Amino acid sequence: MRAETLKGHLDALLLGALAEGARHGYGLIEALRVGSAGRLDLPKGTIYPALHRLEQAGLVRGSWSEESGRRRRMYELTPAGRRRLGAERAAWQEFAAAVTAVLLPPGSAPGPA
Amino acid sequence: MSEDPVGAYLRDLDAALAVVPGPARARAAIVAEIGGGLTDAVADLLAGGCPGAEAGRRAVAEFGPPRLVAAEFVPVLVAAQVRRCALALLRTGPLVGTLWLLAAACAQRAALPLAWPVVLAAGAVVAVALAAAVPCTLFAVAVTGPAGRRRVDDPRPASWAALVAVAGAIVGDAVLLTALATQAPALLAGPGRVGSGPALAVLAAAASLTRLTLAVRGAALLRRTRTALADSPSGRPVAPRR
Repeated sequence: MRAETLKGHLDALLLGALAEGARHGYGLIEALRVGSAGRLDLPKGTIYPALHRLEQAGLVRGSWSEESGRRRRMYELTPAGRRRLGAERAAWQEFAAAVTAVLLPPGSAPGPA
Repeated sequence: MSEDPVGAYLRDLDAALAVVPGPARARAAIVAEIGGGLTDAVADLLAGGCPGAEAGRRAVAEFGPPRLVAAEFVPVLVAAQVRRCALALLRTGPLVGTLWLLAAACAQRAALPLAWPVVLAAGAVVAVALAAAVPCTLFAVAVTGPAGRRRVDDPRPASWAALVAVAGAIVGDAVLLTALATQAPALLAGPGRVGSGPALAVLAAAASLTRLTLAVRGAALLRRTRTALADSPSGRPVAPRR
């Protein structure tokens, strides 16, 4: 999937990847890759500025912690981040249902025409 | 011997971030965090059987060019810089204002032979500067913090507001210092010279002079933030706002 296509959804994807608990930046990159079976492949370095923007917006909380002898910056959702994730999920479901209804009506072939 | 790709990447990233106005500590933290991510990436590649030298090269390639990553950080660093300037004004404003008001009150009580029309004119100019600076400072602080959730992605309005606020502080301090300079002979010659009036005036002047110096530096930094945002491809929201 193209990076430009993904970029508009990066905030929501990161909030979704943090829904199950705190992760560090590289852990989030891996969570996105594994969770999408390798289909979400952004330049890894761009995840970090997005996390910092979400932190400034009060949607995630970042803090340094020691893990396996290394300092890592861990991120977790704030209550505002959880609310925002709920709103993003609802909006995505609505959008996906509308697009699917037009692009893939019942009986249409899923592959190339 | 060729240079370690991860070390070279972090050096380039630090250099690219250094041209963006922002707190130095924030920049160092960013480089440290991305360095940690690269270390994880190299470890993963090595565990997957990638040869040592190739692992470093692939890891940095997968992170994207340092200039691109640094460009994505521009709004983050600018917002931090804007917030820092606005908070400095918010913290120093009441102190500087109180010192000047106390000095004026003491001068009036001691019936110093000041040219009161000049003092009142200066006060009027300062009031106008404050009327512009205070709301702009509050706006800049509000939208660059968690309360500004939906606007923090785009720090341009906050950057403008902080620039206006800093300009207001510069005008206010410059006018007050000029007014004091014109009234210095009266202050020193008056009967209150042994009272607290002149001492308070000197304290207020020192506070204003310090803030003026910092405000001029802040204005230069804020002007640089505007240039950095104009040059950055990411001075806009990442996700569509609802």
